[in-house]
Amino acid sequence: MQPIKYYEPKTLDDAVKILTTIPDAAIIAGGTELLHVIRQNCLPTFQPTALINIKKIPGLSYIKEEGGTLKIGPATTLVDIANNETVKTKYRALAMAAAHVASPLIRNMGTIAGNICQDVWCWYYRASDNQFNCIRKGGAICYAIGGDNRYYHSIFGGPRGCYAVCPSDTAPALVALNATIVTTKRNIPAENFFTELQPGNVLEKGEIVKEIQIPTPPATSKSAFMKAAIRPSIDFALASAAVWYNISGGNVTESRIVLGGVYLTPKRAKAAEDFLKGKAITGETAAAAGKQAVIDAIPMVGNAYKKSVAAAMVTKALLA
Amino acid sequence: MSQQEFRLVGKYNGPRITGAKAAAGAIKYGWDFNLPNQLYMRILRSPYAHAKVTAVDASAALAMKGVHGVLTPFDFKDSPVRLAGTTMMILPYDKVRYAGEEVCAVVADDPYIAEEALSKIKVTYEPLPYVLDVEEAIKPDAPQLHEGGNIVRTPTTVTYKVGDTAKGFAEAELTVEFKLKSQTIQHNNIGTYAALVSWEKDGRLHMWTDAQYMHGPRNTLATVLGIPQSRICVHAELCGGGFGDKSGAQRCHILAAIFATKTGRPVKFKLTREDNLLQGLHRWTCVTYFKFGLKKDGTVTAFEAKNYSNAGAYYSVWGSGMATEQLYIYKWPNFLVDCYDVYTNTPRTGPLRCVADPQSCWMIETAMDRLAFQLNMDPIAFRLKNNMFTQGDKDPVTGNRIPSIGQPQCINRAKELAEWDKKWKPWPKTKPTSGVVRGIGVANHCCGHGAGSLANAAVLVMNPDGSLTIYTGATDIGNARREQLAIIAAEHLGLPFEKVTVANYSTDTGPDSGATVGSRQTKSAGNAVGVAALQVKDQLLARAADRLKVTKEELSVGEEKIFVTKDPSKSVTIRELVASAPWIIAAGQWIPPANTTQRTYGTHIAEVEVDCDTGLVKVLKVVAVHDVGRVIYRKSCLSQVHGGIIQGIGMALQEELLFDPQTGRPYNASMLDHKMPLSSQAPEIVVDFVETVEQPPDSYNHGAKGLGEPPTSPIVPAITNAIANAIGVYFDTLPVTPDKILKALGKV
Repeated sequence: MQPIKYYEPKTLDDAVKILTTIPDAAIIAGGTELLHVIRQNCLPTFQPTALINIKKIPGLSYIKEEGGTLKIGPATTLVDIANNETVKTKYRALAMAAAHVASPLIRNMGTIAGNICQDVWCWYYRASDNQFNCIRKGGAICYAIGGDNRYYHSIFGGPRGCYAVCPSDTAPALVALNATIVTTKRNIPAENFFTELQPGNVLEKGEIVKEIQIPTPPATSKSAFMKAAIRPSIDFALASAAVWYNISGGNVTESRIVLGGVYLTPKRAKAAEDFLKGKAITGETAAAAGKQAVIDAIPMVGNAYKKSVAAAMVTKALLA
Repeated sequence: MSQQEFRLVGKYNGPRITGAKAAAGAIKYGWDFNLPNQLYMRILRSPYAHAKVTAVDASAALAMKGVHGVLTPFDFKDSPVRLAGTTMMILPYDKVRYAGEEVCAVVADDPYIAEEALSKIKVTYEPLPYVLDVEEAIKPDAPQLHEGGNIVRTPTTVTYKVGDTAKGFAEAELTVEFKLKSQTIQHNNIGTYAALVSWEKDGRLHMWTDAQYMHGPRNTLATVLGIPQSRICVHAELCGGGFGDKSGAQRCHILAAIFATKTGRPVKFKLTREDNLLQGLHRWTCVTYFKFGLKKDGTVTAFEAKNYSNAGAYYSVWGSGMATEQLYIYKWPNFLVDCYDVYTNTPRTGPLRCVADPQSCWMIETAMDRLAFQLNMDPIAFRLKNNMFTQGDKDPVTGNRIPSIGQPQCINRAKELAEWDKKWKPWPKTKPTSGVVRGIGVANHCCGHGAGSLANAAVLVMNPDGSLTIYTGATDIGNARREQLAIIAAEHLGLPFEKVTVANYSTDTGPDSGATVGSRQTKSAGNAVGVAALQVKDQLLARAADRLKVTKEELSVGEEKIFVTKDPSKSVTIRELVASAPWIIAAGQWIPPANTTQRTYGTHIAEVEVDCDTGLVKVLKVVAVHDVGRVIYRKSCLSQVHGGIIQGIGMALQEELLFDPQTGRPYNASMLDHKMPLSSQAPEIVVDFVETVEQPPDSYNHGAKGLGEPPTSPIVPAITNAIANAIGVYFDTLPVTPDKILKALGKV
């Protein structure tokens, strides 16, 4: 491990300055993700020479509703989001997702921006000392294709040869709630924030997540998040689902159904959304929507079962 | 002695002596000891599963400021050492045999410099073909790990034979065949291997560590360093979990002692979690081919099994194979079991909360359930039909006496507590395809305990104020050794619990009482304490008889007094008898009786919920009944059962250390990916104990058998049998993960 310089800027502007002037500098807030990557030495090209702690910048941790928008500061901890009454009632999918992340210790440390910016969790990619120099790191192959892809890999293909899934629980919730990621440079719809290749999002060098905004959904709408994992906590999703839908006259007028843990980014299930339009949410339609959500899945050898898991999560979330 | 006559045995239920301090983080474990000027050691591991080490260039590491030494395989060309009964090189100079094997070690002023130095050591490897799978490794053209082939030539590559299986199969009305495969698991102790090693002012080498055995590592270090055993002191006050992994010195302890000797400075190390996952004595993968012959009424007429155990790269003395004990639950008239230990390019193997017991318990009890399923018979009725061993039966292979057998009592009690007759329903005729279904499953268990070593020793010293100190090397690894031994001695001597103390643990203060392994120390060290306590008692009685002018036979002990049995008003306090020298000191050793096999028994019944849409299994409730001979300290007995059950959930449903066939490398050597179970997965647990006093009574320790390991085993088949009861499918491999369940349900 290289010696690392440590900065505590007073403002986000200062953080951006440091980030743009020092090569190989990295942002740290909760550190639950970054320190793992550094300590495990799993990325040959990522060896930060400087860490910029943004958690001590005043005013980056908040949850407030303003002008029909929920605004969340980037350094807001997951526990604060999970426990916030406004989030729990009006933005329920997000509160449920935040409550499902890892363990209480990690939710106390981890931040919302960190959670959506985390790198994929694939056991080959994350093995220590870059023991598997896979295609995502510039190597020749994806070890999961010929290896063990039962937990952490895509059931919707790997367009660039990598099959590792986006592990974030809050990401599908933010997409379902039609959030906007506000950075130091621009506003990005959550749906466009995530990318299939490293680093898994569209942030450019020197760009920092400044705020997360969610339009206040109509009172006639509902949202929820469900997750299936081997362990009830401290585990990533085999599959998760975040759903949001608006009801009028007993039927769905509009919905956003998003799968987690099954693709390199949160995966919008448009077929399921189309199916639900104009229908009431019942056990039957929820089950059918679950099936629609994975209708175009092309699973790998070891993870075809995740189709059923993902469908079940959609159904459960719709009925929750 | 019947239970109601005990004052403390089974009744004392005060808190663990070290409990509150352990919970508050106020206890020192291996990593917590520090000395001025100490160095930190780190170990470099092989990235190759099998490779010749042709050269090591450590010059860049040695040139670093703060680095004080590097050891390479070439330092140990002629220094084989016996570790856990197998001969290994201190560092593997000929070749590395698994990815993760130790190659070099470095010491530096701080752990960060040591870590950086590791990256500067250039090792040149010549990769060799490797083999990970046990059945691949027995093929003639498989890569060879050691001279002499991949089948380990040891006393445990053995055959167990009773009766005539050919005759038994001839009597059978149907035969059933299947293959079962378990998985490789690491112990994942809370405390990874850690120690501080230092040459102290007394001119002796001291090692502070957490260990299941102090004298074994002491003797190993003495051999390696060529110094008398008396010049080494190993301190092991408390242990951050053992489960069989800390029952001897490892390479890391030896390397630290060599560095301490070379540098003259204290050397400290702690393995990282990943290092720890790849080091030590893993629970090995067992592959077994079964063939059963049975009658339609459920009687098993013959049983044959061929077992291949993945011994890993190095074999350990405890051996692999199928635990023989598990074969002795049912009185099968004819059986033949062949066991082979096989080397592969995977980590070393050894005991993990029993030697081969969890694997063979899962296999035998899965087999029993499959047979019941085949005949559509209630699994408990099927087991009862197959003549379980009962009190007075002998070991059918050796003819040895089995002092106490409580298997029938365990299954009957568990059946009652679990409301089996109300809850058990036959397997579903068609597989469920959605929703949540429930099932209930049972498993029996038999396990050796207490035997295996003649080293069972304790010294008891009466203090002038009438209190007693016990000195023994039987370490406390979280199994309440202090409380159990104190209760045993206090019961014999009429002392209150608080007046009996076990001295601090070190090889200087207690005699070698063998390793705290094999669920043995309540029996073994307990008996040694009992032997000594009876000598102390005899001396107290002699002194009292003299004082009270009666014979010893007329006296009793109780309430810190010796009194005339018929006239308790005539008494003398123990304090008066021991207030001045000559002191009362007694050394006790317990020699296990010849031609005797100690066995403990148990039954678990598990209720599970299977989600047929996600394949996830939730263990709802477990009833656990164990034949422990005698409960000494109930609190500890309960915690052993609770811990064992949670650990067993890992083996049944989620844990496995995995190696990539494409590279030979481990790909889930982390706590997240190894998927050890969490406390949040703990089911409702109902515990009861069957107390079967050994015949003839062997009463030094008041009749206790062992309990440390047994609760980990039967829970595994109880869970998988419950899953089968819920969905009508038995699985051939462990762990039973959602992918397997949904595939079996036709959802893939």
